[in-house]
Amino acid sequence: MRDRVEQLVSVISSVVLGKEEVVRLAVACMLARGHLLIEDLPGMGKTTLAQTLAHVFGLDYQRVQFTSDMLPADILGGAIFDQQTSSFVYHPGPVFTQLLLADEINRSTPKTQSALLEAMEEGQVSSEGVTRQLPAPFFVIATQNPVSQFGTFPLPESQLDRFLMRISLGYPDPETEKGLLKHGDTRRDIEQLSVCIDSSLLIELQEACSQVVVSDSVLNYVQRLAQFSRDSDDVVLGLSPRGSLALIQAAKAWAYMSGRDYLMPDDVQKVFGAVVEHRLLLRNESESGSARSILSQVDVLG
Amino acid sequence: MSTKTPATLLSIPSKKWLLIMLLVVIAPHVAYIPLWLTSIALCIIGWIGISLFSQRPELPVWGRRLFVVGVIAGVLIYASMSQGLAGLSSLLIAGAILKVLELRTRRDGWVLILVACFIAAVSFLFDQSIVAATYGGVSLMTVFSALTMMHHPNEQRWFTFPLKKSALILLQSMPLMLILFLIFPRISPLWSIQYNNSVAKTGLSDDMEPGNISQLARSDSVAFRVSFSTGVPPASTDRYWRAMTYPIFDGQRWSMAQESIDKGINKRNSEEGKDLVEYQVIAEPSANSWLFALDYPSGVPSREILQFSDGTFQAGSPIYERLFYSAKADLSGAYDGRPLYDRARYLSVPKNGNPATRAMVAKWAATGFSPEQKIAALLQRFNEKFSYTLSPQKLRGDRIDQFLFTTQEGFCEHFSNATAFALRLGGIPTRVVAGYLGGEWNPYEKYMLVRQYEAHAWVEAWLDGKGWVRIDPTAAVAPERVILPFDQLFSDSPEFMSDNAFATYRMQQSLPWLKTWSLRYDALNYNWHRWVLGFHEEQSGLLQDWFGKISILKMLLLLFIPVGVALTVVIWILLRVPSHKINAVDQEVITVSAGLCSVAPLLQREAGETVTSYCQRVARSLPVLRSRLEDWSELYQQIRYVPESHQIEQNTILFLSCSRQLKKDIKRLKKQDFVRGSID
Repeated sequence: MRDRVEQLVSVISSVVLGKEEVVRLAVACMLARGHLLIEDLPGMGKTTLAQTLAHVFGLDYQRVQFTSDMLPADILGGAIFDQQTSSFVYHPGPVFTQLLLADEINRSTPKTQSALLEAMEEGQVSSEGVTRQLPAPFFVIATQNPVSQFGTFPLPESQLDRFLMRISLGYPDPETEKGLLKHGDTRRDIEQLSVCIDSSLLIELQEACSQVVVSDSVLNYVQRLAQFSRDSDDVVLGLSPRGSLALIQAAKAWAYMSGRDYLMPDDVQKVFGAVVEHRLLLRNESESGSARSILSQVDVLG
Repeated sequence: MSTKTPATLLSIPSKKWLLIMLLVVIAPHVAYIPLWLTSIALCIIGWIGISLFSQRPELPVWGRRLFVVGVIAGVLIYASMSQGLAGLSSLLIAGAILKVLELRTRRDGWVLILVACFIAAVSFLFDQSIVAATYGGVSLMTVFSALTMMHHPNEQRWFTFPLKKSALILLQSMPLMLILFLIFPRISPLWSIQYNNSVAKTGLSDDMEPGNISQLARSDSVAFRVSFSTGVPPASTDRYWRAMTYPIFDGQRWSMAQESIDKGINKRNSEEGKDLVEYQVIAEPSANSWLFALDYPSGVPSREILQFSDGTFQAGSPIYERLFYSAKADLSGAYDGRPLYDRARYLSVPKNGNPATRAMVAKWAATGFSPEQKIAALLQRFNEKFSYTLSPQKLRGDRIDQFLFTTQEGFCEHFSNATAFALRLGGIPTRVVAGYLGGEWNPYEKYMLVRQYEAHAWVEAWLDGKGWVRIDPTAAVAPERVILPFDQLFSDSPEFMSDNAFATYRMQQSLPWLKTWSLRYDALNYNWHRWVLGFHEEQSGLLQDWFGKISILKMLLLLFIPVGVALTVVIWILLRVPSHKINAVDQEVITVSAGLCSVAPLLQREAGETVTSYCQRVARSLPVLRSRLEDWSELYQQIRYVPESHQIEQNTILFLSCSRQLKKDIKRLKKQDFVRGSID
C-alpha cells in the first residue's frame, strides 16, 4: 500500500514541479482525513496542486470559484419550486461531492465561508430543516490569497481551525522555473494522469494511518509544544486541544508515509508548521513565536 | 471595560471574609480615628454585608463619586487638624472602606488584602502591648482566611475551611518568625514620627515651681520598671530615683543647668566594687531624654546613656519608645573625695525677698550653728509644726516666708524649695533633686514598678568632707511618705481618692484578687517589654556570645549567608524539577551531547533537535562516528518511540553499551585536537 502512496507523490510531483515536500504534506493531509488550505499569491500553482490532488486520488470532485457576491445556497444548494409537482424540490449544491475545490475562498463573504463550516466539520449539510449526509470521504481543498491582498475577507479563526493544514507553495527554484518555462503550462496534463488509488483504497490508507502507534514520550513532546505556545509571550492565542489532536493526526500520516508504524518527534516537527501556524494568533508577525521558533525552543527529550 | 468572566469575579464567601477581615483589622483603630469615620465604616460594611444575602440596589456612580469625595475631604480636614499619625491612619482606613463599595473582581480583593495588612501593621504604631500583638495574630488570620477563600471560591465550608488553613499557615510561619526574631538586626529607623498617643504624661518637668508636681502626681501611668541583679529590692528608705537636679534658683523657680558629662564615675566604681546595687531599667516613652538613677549612681555600662557630674543619666535623644539600660548604685553614697566645682552657683540666691526667712537664718548664724546644726534646726521645725498635704493653699508674694511662717503645709516641692533656699542663705551649697521615691514591688517577676504619682523632690547639700548629702525634708514632716507606698499613704485622703486616675486603685483595694491579678498582668507585660520588645539588648549579647564581637560585616554575613543558602536551595530544587523526569535513556543523549560539545561547541544538541536529526548532523561533521551514531539513534528510536516493544530490555542494554563506546570514541576525538579546527 505504501508503494501506492509513493507512486501518488511522484505522479503529483510530475505536475507540481520541484515541490515534493509540499506535495507530501498535502498527501499526508488527505491521508489524515483533513481539509487542506493552500495559501499563496496568484499564479503560484495553487489550483494546479488542488486539481491534481483531486484527480490523482480518483475522487469525484466539484470546483467552486468563490466570489464576493456568492451566497450560501450557491454551495449548499436550495429548494426550487417545481411547477409540475407544485412543490419545492431540493437541488443539491456543489458541496455534494467527495472533494470540493474551493478556489479563492477568501474572496467570498464570511456568510458564504461559514456555510462550509458544518459541511467540513460534520460531513453533513442542513438546509430547510433537513440534514443530508455528504459522501465519504469528503474533503475540502481550499485555496486563498494572502489576506493582505486587495478585496479579500480573512477567514474567521473558527474556520481556519477546521483546516488540518495550511500550506503554501512559494516560488519555484530557478532550475524548476526554467523547466516550467520550457514545457509550458502543465495543467493540461492533469487529465491524462493515471488515477493511482480509488476511494476504497483511500479509506484503507486512512485507517492504516490512524493505526500508527504513539509512545508516551512523543505525546509528552506534543503536549509540551502546545503548552509552550500557550505560555509564550509572543503568542496571543495558543494551540487548542483540537490543534494538538490535529498535530498528532497529521504526524501519524507522515509517519505512515515515511514507512513506519510508530510516531517519532521528527514526524511531528515535519508537519508542525503546516498544522499549527494558521491556528496561532501571534502578537506581532515576526520570527519570534512562529512555529519554527517554538520548535527550536521546546526540548525534544524529557 | 475588560471582560468579566466568573473566574475574575469575587465569590460571595470570599466577599464575606473580606468584610470580616476589614472589621477585625480596623477595630483596634477605632480609638484613634474620628467617630464619624467609624460609623461610616460600619454602615458601608453592614450594607455590603446585607446585600450579599439579598440583592440591594447599588449606589449610582455619581452618588458613589460624591460620597468618596466627601469622605476623603472629611478625612483630609481631620488629618490637617489632628497631630501625628491618627490623620494618616484615618486616610488609610477611609481608602480601605471606600474600596469595599466597588468590591467586585479578584483584583479588588487583592488590593483590599494588601491594604488590610498595612492597616494591621500600622496599629502597632499606637500600641505594642502583648494584647495588641495577640490581636495582630488574629488580624493576620482573618487576612489569610480571606486570601484562602479567594483561591477556593467554590469551597462549601466557607467559615471553618479558611480558618483551619490560615491557622496552619500561621503555625508554619512560626519557626521562620522565631529565627528572624532571634537574628534579624534591629535597625534603628531612618526617620521617625512623633506620635503623642504613646507618650506618657510625665511626672516631672525641666523646672520646679511649687505647685507643678502636685498637678502631675495624680497620673498612675508607669514611669519605669526596674529589676535588681540580686532579686531583692533595696529598703524603702533607699528607693530614691534621681532624674535631674535644679541648681539654679531665681527666687521663684528652680531650673536645670548645663552639666558636664562625668567620666570619672565608672573608674571609681571599679576601685570600690563593694556595696553596689546593680539594676536594670525599662523606661517608658516620655518624650524627654532624662532617665532614672538609683541614688547615688555609680556607673552605667550602656554606652548610649550619658552620665552627668550631678549624678543624673540622660539618653542621647528624647525617648519615644521603651528604653532598656542597666546601671549600678552605691546606696551608702560614700564621698569620693572630689572637690565641689562652682560653689557660687550652689549658693546664689536673689538679693531681696523673703525677709522672715533671712531673719531666721541670720539668727542661726548669730547662735553659731554649724552646717549640720542648721539642717537639724530646720528639719526639727518642719517636724514639729508642719503638715503634709497634696492640696496646699496657694502662695502669694514672698512665697517661702508665707510657707514657712503662715501656711505651714505642703508637699515635697514646697519643703525642698524652702529647705534649699534657707540652707543657701546659711552658706551651705545646695541643689534640689527631682525624681521618684518608692515603687511597687512585684513579687511574681521580681521587679519594681514606679508610677508617675511617685514623683518626688528632695534636697542635696554639700558638706565639706562629706560631699553631697541627701536631705529629704518631706521625710521629716511625714516619714510615712518614705516608708509606706504612696497609694496606701493617701488612700484616706479625699482629693487623692476622688481623682479619676485612681479608680482602678480603689477597686483593687476592695477586691484583693483584683490586686493580685493586676500585679500578675503587669508582670506579664514586664516580661513582654523586656524579652520581646526590648530584645535587641539581649540580642546583641546573645549574638556576641555566639559569634564574638559584632561588626557590620559579620551582621551582614549572618543575615545574608542563611538567606543566600536558602535561596540557592530553592532555586536548585526549582531547576531540578524537570530533570527529575528525565529518562535514563534521554540522560545518555544529554551526556553524549555534552561530550561532543567539549569536542566542538557547535556539536551540542539544540533543544528542538530530535535525536535522529542530531545524529545525522554530527555524522556529517564527524564521519568517523557515522556507523556508530546510526546504530545508536536507531536503538534510541526503538526504545523510546516503539511502545510495547518486546525487546525493550535487550535494546536498552545494547543502547547503553553502544553509548559507552560512543563516549570512548568522543574522548579519543577530544585528544586529537585536529577535529576542532575542522568543525569550527
